[in-house]
Amino acid sequence: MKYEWILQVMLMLILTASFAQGVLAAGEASGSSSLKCSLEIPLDKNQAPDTLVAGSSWERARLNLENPGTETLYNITVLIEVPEQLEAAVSPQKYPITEEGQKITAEIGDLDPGQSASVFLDIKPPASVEFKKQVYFTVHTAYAGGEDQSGYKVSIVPPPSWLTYFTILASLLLFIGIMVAVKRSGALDLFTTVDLITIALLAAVIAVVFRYVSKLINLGWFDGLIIAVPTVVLMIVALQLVRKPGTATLLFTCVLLISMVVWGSHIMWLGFYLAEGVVVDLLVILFRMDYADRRLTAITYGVSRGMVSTFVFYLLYAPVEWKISYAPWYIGLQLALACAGGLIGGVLGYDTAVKMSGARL
Amino acid sequence: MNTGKKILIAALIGAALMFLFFVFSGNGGWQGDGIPPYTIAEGVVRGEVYVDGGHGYTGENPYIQYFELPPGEVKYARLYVPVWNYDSGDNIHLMVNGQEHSVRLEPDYVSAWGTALYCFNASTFLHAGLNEVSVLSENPGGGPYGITLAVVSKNSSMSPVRFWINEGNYALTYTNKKDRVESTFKGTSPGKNASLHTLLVAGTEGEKDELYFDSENIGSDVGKSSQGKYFDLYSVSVFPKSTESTLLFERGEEGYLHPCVAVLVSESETDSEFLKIHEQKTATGGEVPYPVIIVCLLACIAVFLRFRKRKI
Repeated sequence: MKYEWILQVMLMLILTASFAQGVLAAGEASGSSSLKCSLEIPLDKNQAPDTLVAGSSWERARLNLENPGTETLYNITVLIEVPEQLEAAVSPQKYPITEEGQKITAEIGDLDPGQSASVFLDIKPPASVEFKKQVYFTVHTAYAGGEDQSGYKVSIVPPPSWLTYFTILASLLLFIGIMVAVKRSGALDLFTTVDLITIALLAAVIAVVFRYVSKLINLGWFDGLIIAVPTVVLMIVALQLVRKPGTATLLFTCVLLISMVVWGSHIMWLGFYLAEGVVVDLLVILFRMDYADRRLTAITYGVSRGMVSTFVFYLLYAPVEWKISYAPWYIGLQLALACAGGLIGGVLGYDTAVKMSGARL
Repeated sequence: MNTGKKILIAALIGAALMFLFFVFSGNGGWQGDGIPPYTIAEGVVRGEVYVDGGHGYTGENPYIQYFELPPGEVKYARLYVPVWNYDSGDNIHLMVNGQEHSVRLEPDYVSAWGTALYCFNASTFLHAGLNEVSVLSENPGGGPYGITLAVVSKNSSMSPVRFWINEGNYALTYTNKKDRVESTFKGTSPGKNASLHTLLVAGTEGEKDELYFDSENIGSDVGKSSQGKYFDLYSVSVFPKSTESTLLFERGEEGYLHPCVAVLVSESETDSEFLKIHEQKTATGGEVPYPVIIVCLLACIAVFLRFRKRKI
């Protein structure tokens, strides 16, 4: 069957991503002592471990203690020294806890063999750091008959504030550059009124209908496919129907413009939409004006668009917009889903476009 | 039947199904503007009203919050769990002090793109002193913004207080062009000392919003993620100016702001205690935005015209 290999590749991508979490998630370090100790920050498993984005709000941290031995440990107390660069706060919890400046003390009491305890603290990174900085938490544990000390390294990544302005500026420059190039080359004249209406209609369907429908269906971890597949299908349809250089860029720019009007999207996302359009148009030129005329090129365009949008979103826009640094395994999972979406969308888009050939308004 | 006809029929059936799906779907998508906070409980108690919560969106699962309740008998308690990114099919599992409270499939109030508020009566599950509340959520890519607790505690050694607990979930966003919303407290006593606690979610630091009580400004940039990401429990002293006080939330520069809970506690004019629980309001469900309907219709017309043209 002609679809067999496509299904195999798709399954492989999804399975690879599903197992990525177990392979890539690094374990916590702990001091070699009779009291096992580890620090988790942030607690969101999807976010990069031991990393804080400067300028973000309070992040919860958890200190886990475990008695791995065979004897009960009595009167355990924990002293956590929070780095000067970070703000710390504590709230009522299971164990008595006090805060004095950068020092937090918790009285755990006794821990039987195999028993564990957790202490929560809230940490706020600084508003800004010039470069990536490493800070160290020091944890002193004391119990009847012994004491230990362990250190935990946490990275503070630079604030994305300057990146925000850079992103907006770069997007606008790219947009202006494309406009100038298009005007000089007369490429816009190539587009007929019918072409522009076709692009606008397809962009409206992506921006308005697909975005709305994507919230109606809940596929859990596979939610990304709901919007990725139909978007790629319409992108391939647009390429085949319009058959002009710059079609994808124009399509995705229209998607943003419509999103701005209908949903109030921010101009900052211009770069994101331009990137996925530009990469497809460059590939069209690279493949000698192949407007997804072959199944393989349709899939290539779909997958490439998925890869670029995932990288641009998770490595640039997520830290800028939400001040979140995602874990590598999570980005890998989303990348695999985007590629799977591009693959399915490429196949379906090619078939749809072929059947609609000549279906211009 | 030729291929063109097949595609036309498939497109029309698809469009019809999609339209029916939109019409009958109560969940997901744009969930509407929501419900402005209204009074769910009010009364007079000799004792105090405790309001606390935390700690912002952290992605932890289960999400744990501890509450140190004051001494006294718990007369009424309402637990609030605002959640980000609610989609149909998600659920939350609430545990209080290690006891199973409930599993909730549907939130009580939902608005915008799925900002939800779950409300629980928890009077019998709580006690004076430390309480642990744990929420296990099944919500990929989302989760609780925080947990907030409002408790009316009876303590005969204290003076009587008048209280109002207002709840709801209203979307102040640029998307729906809603810039302000009011919440009222009926039966307030002018000139009495009072304290106001309000829970807002989705607020961003630096995006200035305003809060007014009886036309007096009582806070600026209140929604600033002060207790954690996108979570603010703001407390302030107020002085009612009439027998019906109004709390006004103004979105200002905020992209999204969801006023969810407002609790007013005032000196009481009377010693006679009472507790009145009001009927909970239900959301009317999400409406399909006009742009979605218009674009769907345009797309259907375009497909129809094209294939009609080809046939001719």
